[in-house]
Amino acid sequence: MFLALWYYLQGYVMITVSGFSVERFVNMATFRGIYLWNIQPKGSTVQMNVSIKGYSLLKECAEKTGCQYDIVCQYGLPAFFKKYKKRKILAFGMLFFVAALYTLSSFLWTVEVEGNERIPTEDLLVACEKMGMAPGTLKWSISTDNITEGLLETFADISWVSVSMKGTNALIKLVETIPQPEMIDKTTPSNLIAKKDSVIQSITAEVGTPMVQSGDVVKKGALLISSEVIIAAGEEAEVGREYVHARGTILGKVWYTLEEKVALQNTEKKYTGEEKKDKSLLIGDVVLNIIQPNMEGTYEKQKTGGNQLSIGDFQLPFAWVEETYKKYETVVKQKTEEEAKKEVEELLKKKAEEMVEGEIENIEITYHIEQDNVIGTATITALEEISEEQKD
Amino acid sequence: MLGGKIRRNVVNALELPKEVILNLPFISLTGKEELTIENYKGIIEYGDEIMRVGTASGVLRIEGKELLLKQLTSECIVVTGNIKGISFLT
Repeated sequence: MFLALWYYLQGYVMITVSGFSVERFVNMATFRGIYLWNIQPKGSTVQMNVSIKGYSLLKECAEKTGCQYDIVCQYGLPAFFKKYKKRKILAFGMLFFVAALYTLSSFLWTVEVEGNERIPTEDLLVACEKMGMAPGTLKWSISTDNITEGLLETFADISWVSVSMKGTNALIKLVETIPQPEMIDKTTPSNLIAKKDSVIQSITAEVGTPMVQSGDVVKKGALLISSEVIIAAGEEAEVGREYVHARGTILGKVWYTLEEKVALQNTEKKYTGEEKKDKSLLIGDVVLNIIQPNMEGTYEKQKTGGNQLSIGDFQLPFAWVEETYKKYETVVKQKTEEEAKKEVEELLKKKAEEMVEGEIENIEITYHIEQDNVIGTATITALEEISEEQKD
Repeated sequence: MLGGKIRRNVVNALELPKEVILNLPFISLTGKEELTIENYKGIIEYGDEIMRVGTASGVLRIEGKELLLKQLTSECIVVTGNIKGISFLT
């Protein structure tokens, strides 16, 4: 196997030997160290392969044994080059291919981020771009060590990061720090105030002096639990005052109003089931779409397939994109008032649940119709925690 | 040959490889398709059905069909084809 490869690289010739005693010729050649292989009798002559080096020594053997030999064909790399020497465009094409492969693979094409939970991927990519690692830059100009250090400096949340290049791909692996628990400062005195207008439902003061009672109407910013605690000895005598960090639970009734409208008439897409496929080639950001399907009527576009082309680990800047077009017809649908109302109600309920932080006690909805629209107004009563630390 | 006999006894006693010390041919056969002969002396007859190779143990006759000398160096011969039989003619 390796011998064959060696002789292929060196080049060899196929010869036919004819004469009285081919065996003697073969023996003599062998004893002179000429390597012969694939010796086949072909009628009265014998065909064999001999290396180019050995071929020059054959003349003497032939003379001594009285044999004649002729070249049938030349093989191997030197012969191959000889054959293709005149084909300059082919050689140029080969060189161009190798050069193109080399240049294309010496750029960075994709950057991937792995392991981030809190830090947005875009932020990391932007930071990398600032440090010179963006798709389209030369691979050799990127120092992964610098980027690793830079990322650690820029993002305090990263505890470990590694930047590795694999082919035309850069992979950033990182581990985020464990989030620090929110420290509750229990030493500095502070008040609890209302963060919304509400009616107090219940108040439980853990630390501090309660300033309101249940049933009181409070405005936003009103003092609920004061940090001032009067220390009394016995019945009336005030011994002193202490300032604490007020804590407690205050539940209050809060009202919200929401409005939502639903049109009685709306258009809907009705798919006919007809589908058309369109394949295109994506080079970088340029779309090359040669064959496009005939599009009559309305279609909805949907990306159904695609393939990033790559050689091994090297991702090339080419991609196949396959898109499916679904044909549809626009249908106008008329709703009854009841249906519209139901829809409004559902919308309002959904919205209310998103908005209210505590518990919803009651939702009242009133409807009225205006210009083919059903408008619902909801009054929501909710029970919420309304206290908030006062900030100076 | 007294010298030869002593040498043979020594080789037998010490379990040395005979093909090296006694210059005997080392023939290995893979199935019936490849035959390797090391330590041969020369090719005597060559055809695609009968082949004769000179060795220290005598002339080795190879019979078969479509015989082909795959490789030929001063140390070994590789014959491929459909080998039917090998025998020593002395």
